Amino acid sequence: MLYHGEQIFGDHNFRQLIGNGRSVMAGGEPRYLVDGYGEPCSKPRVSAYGSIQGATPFHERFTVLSREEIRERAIDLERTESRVSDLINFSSKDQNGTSYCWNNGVVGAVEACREMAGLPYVSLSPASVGGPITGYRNVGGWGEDALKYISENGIARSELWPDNAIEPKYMTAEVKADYENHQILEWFDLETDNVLQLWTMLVHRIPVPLGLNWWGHLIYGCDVVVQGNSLLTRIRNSWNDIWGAKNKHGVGGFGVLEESRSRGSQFGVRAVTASRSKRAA
Amino acid sequence: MKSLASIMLLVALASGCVMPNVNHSGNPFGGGGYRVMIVHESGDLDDLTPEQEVIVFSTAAGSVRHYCELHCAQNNNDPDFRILDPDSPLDRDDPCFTKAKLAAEKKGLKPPYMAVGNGRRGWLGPLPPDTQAALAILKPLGSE
Repeated sequence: MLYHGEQIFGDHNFRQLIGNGRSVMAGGEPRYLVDGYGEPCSKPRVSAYGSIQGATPFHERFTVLSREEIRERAIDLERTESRVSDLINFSSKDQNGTSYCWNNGVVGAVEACREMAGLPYVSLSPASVGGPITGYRNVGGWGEDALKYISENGIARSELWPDNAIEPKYMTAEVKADYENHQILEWFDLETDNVLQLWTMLVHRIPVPLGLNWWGHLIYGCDVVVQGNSLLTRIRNSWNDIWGAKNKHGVGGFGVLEESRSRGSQFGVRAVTASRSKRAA
Repeated sequence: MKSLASIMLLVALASGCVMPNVNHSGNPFGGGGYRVMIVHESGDLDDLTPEQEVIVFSTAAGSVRHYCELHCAQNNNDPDFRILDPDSPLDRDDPCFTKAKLAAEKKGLKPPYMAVGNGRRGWLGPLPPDTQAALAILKPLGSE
């Protein structure tokens, strides 16, 4: 079931999201994510399956579920109010016009993992991840790079490093000490464009940062939505709570993608550092 | 499974224990507040039965999470209730969770397990089979 006012994006209306209608499906130029931190790439970057550093490849840990199994689990998770989106009780990230979707989507997934673990809600700063990676440039990039940085270093709290402040002055000793409180400890590599792997993760409540070339954007997947005979992907965007529908807790940023629009570069995020992350004195 | 849990509870009560596995020796997990920790192998999708998944993840009214949000000790307005992977280091969290984990290891418990402490008494054992059985353990300790 959709949330009140929740919109489904598919082949018929995806231009609402990308604005200019130039997409592979529309016969236009591919809207690839940007590579090289500023240089548009001529082809989509696709990390070879199994090549994400430290990641467990999907097939080594999981068995892909059939559509019918996914449908049954999705219905059951909705009935018991135990989907990822049911567990999210904090506002959506807001990249506020920056090109840091590739950090916001991954950081949002980490915040969701903390919420599922019952850890205190702490807003985490995407700029504290993307800034050091790019040399503090406001440019597009890849979720895999954000994942690597967070698994090795962590994320600083927004309280110490504002979400969209792409400035090196925030890298203080106090902030460096805070990074380690918010690391990703376990993550899974999924095959690019493999929707059944994506949905298998989601019905096991594993948030999946999803880089979509047709949108030129990265968001994270939360749930599988059953709509008639179709299976859809519920995502959470990073365009503030104003965008999309609100969940039962009244926090927004949710929308739904049809299967054809759910294919992208993806990985699952599971365990994160258990930290109380005490506020600065 | 429900009836088995009920029988276990009745046997424990009849044998003089207030709860099965109650730790009477001091302040279970310390900290002077009601805290709940569930440990399960997050990367193993077969770790929990469907009924146990409801214990761990359901946010519905009357669920374990709902109960814990209302009754666990508050820290900066957040309830001290944790769902953790056994590999998660706890040195950055409240020490009571480390104490609970050490007590579980001393007892030889394997995930999934549940630890409940209210600063005086506690319960430590395998994750109950369903929400009803879990709440039967949580509520007496949470209401003290």
